[in-house]
Amino acid sequence: MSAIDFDQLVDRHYQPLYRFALSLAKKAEEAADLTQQTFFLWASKGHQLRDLSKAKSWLFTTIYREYISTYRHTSRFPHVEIDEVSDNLPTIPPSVFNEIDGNTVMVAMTQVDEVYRAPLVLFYLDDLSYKEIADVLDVPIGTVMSRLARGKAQLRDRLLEVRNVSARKVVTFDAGAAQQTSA
Amino acid sequence: MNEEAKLILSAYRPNGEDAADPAFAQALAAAGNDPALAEWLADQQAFDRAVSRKLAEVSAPDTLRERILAGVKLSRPRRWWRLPQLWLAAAAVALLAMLGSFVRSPSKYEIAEWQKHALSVLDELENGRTGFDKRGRDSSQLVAWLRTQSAPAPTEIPAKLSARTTYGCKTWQWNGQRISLMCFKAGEKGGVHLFTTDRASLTKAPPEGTPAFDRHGNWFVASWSKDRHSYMLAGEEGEPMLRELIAQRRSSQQIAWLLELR
Repeated sequence: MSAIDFDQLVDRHYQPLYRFALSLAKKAEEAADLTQQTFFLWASKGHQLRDLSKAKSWLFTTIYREYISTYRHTSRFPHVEIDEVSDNLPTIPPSVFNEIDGNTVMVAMTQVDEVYRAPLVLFYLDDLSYKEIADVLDVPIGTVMSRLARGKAQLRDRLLEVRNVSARKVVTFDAGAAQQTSA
Repeated sequence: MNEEAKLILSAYRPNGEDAADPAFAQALAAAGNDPALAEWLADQQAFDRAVSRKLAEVSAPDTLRERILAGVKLSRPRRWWRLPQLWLAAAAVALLAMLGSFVRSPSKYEIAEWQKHALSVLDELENGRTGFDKRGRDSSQLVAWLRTQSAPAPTEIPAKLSARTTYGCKTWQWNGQRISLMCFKAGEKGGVHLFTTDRASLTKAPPEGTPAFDRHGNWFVASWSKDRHSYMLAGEEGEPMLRELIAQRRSSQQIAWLLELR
């Protein structure tokens, strides 16, 4: 891959990769490190990838594994069986989204259980299909669907909580923001 | 049926990219025949679109793109064999090395010279002109990785230091001698940094036992030797912090022992 192609690869993917990393690591500095490390690994090993159309999945898979190996010391996600979707999803009036900004949504996202958060953010980045999410997280397709359904239900709850808190004070995303809003 | 359809449609992206995916066909058809399910889907899609839009507002730091590009370019192996002038330089170095071997063998360095070089690499690392070879938050993992690279790896790290979270490590060659660097989180100014090299590469190695303290510019350093390695711990916070971190050196845990337990 030429230097120009590499620049294009960075331009195309570094923002969504950073957002994914931020949702996992919860700190801007660590998210930036993870993103930089992922492109470094691409430069070191990515040329081994014959199908460049798979670069996106490779990058998301790599950043996720880097996060697991570097920042997370607990065991991998437990398998979650598919079950029914809750009928009691909290109602989020459309006006809520006029009152909150992207950072507030990200803060709410970081408060979703990690097992649901990773597929949820990949889904909302609009970059990955459920099949690609299954590949990145190395889980069955059915599990991705289950986690998305449950994750969205949790996100609705968290958004309402964060919105109520942010109505009382300014919410800024970064170190300790998640703890601040959940306190 | 509705519950199964909802589960499947939870994975249906709001931008329409999945419209042709047959996995969603049955669930979408069910929504077409069931007003309640159709309403649920409309609400879900509106929610999904709003969340996607809001998350897209979160931007990476302004400098991240440049950091990525600069870091990779610096780390990329230089294709020196394609540059004829470097062939000439390499030949000259080889000749000088051959001649030098008659005069000075093996290569040894004064500790001040070694410290100056090591700290210049640290400055490059802090300024983003070079990067870690391996990132990690656990010193024992970094030590294990250094060993896989046949790089000088600490056989003993002061207990208070090894308990700290690490940023990463790096190893390189300097005039034929391998040097390793491990960076730890500490204090307000970014951390403390442990260099390791072979004791035999220094003409006068730092003392065994009581560390020697010194200062080079902004860097406060403590140097000591143990077994076949010489160490230098560097930090900007001042000598007291270094003393605190290495105070329990004699009773520190053995990294090798820890690794055997893994």
